[in-house]
Amino acid sequence: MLAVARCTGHWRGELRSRLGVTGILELTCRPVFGGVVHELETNLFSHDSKYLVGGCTWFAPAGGGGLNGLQYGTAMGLCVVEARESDAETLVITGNLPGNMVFTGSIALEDDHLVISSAVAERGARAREEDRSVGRLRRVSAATRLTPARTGKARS
Amino acid sequence: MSVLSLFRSGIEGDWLGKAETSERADMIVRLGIGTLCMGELQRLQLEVLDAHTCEMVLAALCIVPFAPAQGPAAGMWSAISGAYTMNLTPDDEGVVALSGTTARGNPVTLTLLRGENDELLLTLLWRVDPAEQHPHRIAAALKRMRPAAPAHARTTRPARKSARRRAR
Repeated sequence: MLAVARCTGHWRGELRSRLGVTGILELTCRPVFGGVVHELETNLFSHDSKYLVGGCTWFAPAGGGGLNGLQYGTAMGLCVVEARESDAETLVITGNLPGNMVFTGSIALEDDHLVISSAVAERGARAREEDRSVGRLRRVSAATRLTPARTGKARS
Repeated sequence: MSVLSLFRSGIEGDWLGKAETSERADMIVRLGIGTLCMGELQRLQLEVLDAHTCEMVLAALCIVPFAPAQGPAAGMWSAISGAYTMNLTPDDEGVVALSGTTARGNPVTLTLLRGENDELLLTLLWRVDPAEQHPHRIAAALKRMRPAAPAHARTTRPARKSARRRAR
């Protein structure tokens, strides 16, 4: 069973890097085409609820245990990604970004929390600390999401 | 018309229409257009259905960033070809044409055009084998999905007139 199928819904929590708290991350996981594709939308807000950056990942079973998909980040642009289940509860996403950069992310279910991590690095190099972040998200209802109406302006 | 201006021209919503296809008759196209990431990303969800069985013959998802930081103009995933990126190609005025190549090296083109009477004209061309002489084709004139007016609203006379008659 693909771990992400159990992640459907809205999640929120602090996104942290080694340098400190980056902001409040909201993640929405929804099935598309009746679950043929999974869509993961992430939006990062500052602590005063200003929209900072967003991203989205789509992936679908491609046979052979691998999944292929697309990823978009407002800062990174668009790329094709590969998603692999490292175990029954964890999904690892990797993709080649423009400019010889590589994206690595993971999503795991741990004790009713969704633990996500992301890192961007030059191909063949380790990601710098400021380019790594980790979030531990809890399930929230759609009504408490930080919508544009509540956040006011878009990206600050 | 740029991608930006087409998508900001009020085309969000659900669109539906009969398809002309290169191989199968009686197909329906449904196109859902919406935004993600606080409006920074346009998402097109295309479903081609058999009109009799409602079986989904083709499913495709197209992602178009409004302001791509760098790299490709769009991303496409389809049940036939998997995921790949697409770029804008020059076309006639008013036509948005995206073209890309699948992981297997097969060309795909998606064109969108805002037609008259609030129609959206969609064409998807693809080849399963690059050597194929004629591409596979789906074309549809899509209408915006709207709830039908209730039957009584179509037969009842305007309230003002009836009120006037009662007053007499």
